[in-house]
Amino acid sequence: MTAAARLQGMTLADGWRATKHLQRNPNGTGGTFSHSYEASRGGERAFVKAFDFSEAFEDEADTIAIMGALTASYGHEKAVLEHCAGRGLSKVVIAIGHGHVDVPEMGLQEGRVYYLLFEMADGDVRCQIDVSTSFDFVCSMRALKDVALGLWQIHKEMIAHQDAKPSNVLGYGEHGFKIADFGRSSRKGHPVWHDDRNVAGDKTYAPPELLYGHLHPDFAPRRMGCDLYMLGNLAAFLFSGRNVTALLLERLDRAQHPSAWTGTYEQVLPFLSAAFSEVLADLQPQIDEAVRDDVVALIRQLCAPDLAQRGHPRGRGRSDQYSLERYVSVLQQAAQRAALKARLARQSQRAAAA
Amino acid sequence: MIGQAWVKERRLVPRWRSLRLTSKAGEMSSIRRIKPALTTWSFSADHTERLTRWRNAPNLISAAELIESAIVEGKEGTAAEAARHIVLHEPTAAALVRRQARTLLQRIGHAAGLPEEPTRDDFHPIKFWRARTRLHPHDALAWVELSLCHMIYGKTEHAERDMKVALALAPDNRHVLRSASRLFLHLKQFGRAHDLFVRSPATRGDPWLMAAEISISSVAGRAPRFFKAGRALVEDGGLIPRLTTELAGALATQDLLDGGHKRSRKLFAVSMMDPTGNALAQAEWATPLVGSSLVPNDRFASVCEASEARAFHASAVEKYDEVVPACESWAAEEPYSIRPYEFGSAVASLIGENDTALDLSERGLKMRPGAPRLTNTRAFSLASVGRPEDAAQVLATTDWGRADAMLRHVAEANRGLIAFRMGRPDEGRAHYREAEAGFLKIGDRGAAASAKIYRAREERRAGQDAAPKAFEEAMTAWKKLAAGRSHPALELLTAEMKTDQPAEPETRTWSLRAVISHGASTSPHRLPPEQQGENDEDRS
Repeated sequence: MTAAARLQGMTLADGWRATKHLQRNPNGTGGTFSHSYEASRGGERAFVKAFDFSEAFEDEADTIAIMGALTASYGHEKAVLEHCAGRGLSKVVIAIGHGHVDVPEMGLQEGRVYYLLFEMADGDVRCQIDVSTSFDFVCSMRALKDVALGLWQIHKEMIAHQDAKPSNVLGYGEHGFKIADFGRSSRKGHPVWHDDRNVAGDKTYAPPELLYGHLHPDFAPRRMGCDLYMLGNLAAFLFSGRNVTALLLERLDRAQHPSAWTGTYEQVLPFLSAAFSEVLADLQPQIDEAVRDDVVALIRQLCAPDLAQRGHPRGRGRSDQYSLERYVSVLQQAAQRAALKARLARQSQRAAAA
Repeated sequence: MIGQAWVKERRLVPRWRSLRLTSKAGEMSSIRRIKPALTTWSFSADHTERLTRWRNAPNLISAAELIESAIVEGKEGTAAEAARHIVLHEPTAAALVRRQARTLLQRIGHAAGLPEEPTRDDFHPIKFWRARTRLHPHDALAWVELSLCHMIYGKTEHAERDMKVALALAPDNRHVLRSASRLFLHLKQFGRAHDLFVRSPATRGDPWLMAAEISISSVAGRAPRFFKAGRALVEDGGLIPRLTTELAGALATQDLLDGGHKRSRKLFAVSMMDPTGNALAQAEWATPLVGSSLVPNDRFASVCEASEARAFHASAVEKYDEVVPACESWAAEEPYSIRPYEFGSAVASLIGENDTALDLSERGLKMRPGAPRLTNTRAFSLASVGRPEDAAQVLATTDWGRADAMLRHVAEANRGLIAFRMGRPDEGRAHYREAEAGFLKIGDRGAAASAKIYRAREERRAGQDAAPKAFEEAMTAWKKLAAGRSHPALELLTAEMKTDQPAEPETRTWSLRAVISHGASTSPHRLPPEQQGENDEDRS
């Protein structure tokens, strides 16, 4: 068992105590992991992300290179969170602490674990996979609006999240939803080693152009375009329990799958567009009628496989094509409309019952 | 009489069918070399972790996440267990989660024993694809599908409009270009069809597009632009065989028509390494011209969409009862083409299965009203079953002025048949004689002899004094030409003349190849496009 997997019961900085091991998560560094814990302090609860450096000390491992990557990864996430802290980013999960702890009975090198502490959430949005636990459309619209706002807030800081998947959208009760985990983010002007990877975040939720290795040289189309796609992806997930990337790829012929395709992205694009039409048609009936048109339009614009077509129609071809500002406003209105429709429906039901 | 069902010059022009079938035939893959380039695609740590989570805690969320991950990684087999778990044990999984699990199992062939899913029976293809293009107007391939549906329903103008949108959206996509070329061939815009490939930068280096360019160039009466490049690509031998099957077939056809039989045989051998159904049909068509079988026997069973080749092969080996079922499958494979109906109805009509002939010709004419070959076959069958008035009506639906000369003369012969069956022998005789003269004028002595045979048959049937003389004339004409081959109607007539009794239908065990494939067994010669039949855009 590695040091990072042995924090349960240990006291961390500022009186926090790791009480429960949650799970192991792959890092953006490929083949390396972090471990997550629940921590408590008095009546407060927190979430701990502990970086596992054990990989660096395995036999035949290039210790210096792996340590370099891991420390850079930790340093990058800490730096991004510190940059965001105090900037009023209301829909972003900001670290409430960080530090390191030495696991007893282990050497100083392999026993030292670096960690980040976050405010504990009620849960994530993966409950949408199960209809018996999923939110209604009003709550889904709220989640969508909050994540759009969170991503827009970090985009204004020239940070792209690149891993806005359902498990990183956390619910905080009446405070709504926030976007978490900046481990695979990119910050303009502050290169990090995972910037060189085709897909910085989780491949399962990545936009198709990155899976096919079609990498735009500019920050906004490549990285913010990726966040736009992931927001659309999340919209699909919130209303159907599925994400667009997997739905797209399952509709392709095997020969057109990214693992088999040897042509250019332009050549595969018509097939992706055809698959995308199918996906939209399949998603349509899954979305509550009250918000269907808004959500389908949103997915169509944000998940367009053609990067040139992605984003709000009014912004296409302009410098703000990949800005989320319009979507924040659109979603705020749509969420309000959805809440109003739900309230009116409840009232009419009550009236009918009376 | 009926027209020749076997086209004289089959070209390897692209097949136009749904994207799903086209992809299934392996025509939509990227250009891959036998020795693959090093790929950068790797199995991600995220997927490994999801597998671990599913194994440690099998539940709906871990299963659903693993399925998505497996699809994206292209490792669907790793999620089979998770997918089965969702389908069988997670009734509260969201609808799309369940459907995705089921689809995964179907794709990897693990769907046996799963509960049935309800199917829709209100599917209307035009409505379906129109809705799809409204939902996502940038989907070029949906416009191609809509165009195909409009073509099948005979709405040519709509089909052309849809195809224009597709071409504007994806001007260099293989499926769009090949489908558009087929549409333009149908519209008799041969140059426009050829221009698609000449102008697209995608043609250079794409064997599928080169094959289409080479085949369509000769239909357009132009020299192929990519003949040398195509030959180099095939001779290079570096591409996987499926990619070059149609290119090799197109080059082989060109060589064959230019008289290079030896080179043609070699190229057909390359084409048959991993053929598409279209390439297979081309080799089957070329077999009598080359003089030796080009198609390995196992290919008829192993190649998908081989029905066209099977139909012609069955006819060639005189297994006529297999022709119509093969034509039915062929029609399903190429829903836009009327050739399966033409060939199927012609064979059915010749072997006396007039009900089948009438059914097939009706279905073909529904797609392409007034198509001359089908009209002739239908008129012949109707007159043969004692409905000469209906036959006359059918014959009047076609604009014969626009049909090629051969088919016009066939129609004239059918007018003769109808007149005889209506009890007007003088008029019938005149029509037949005009048809015979017409056939001779275009140099088709076989058809002229056939017309004589049918005239003699009708003279005898009508009890005319001219019957023995007509029989002698027909006999002489056919013997001169046929070199020992039989003619179904002549055999029947000979039996009747000998016994002075009407022959039983069972005696019709003729060698139909003489009639059906007569065109193919003669020396190849080129017809200019304007002399081709209404539907000859299909192949020749």
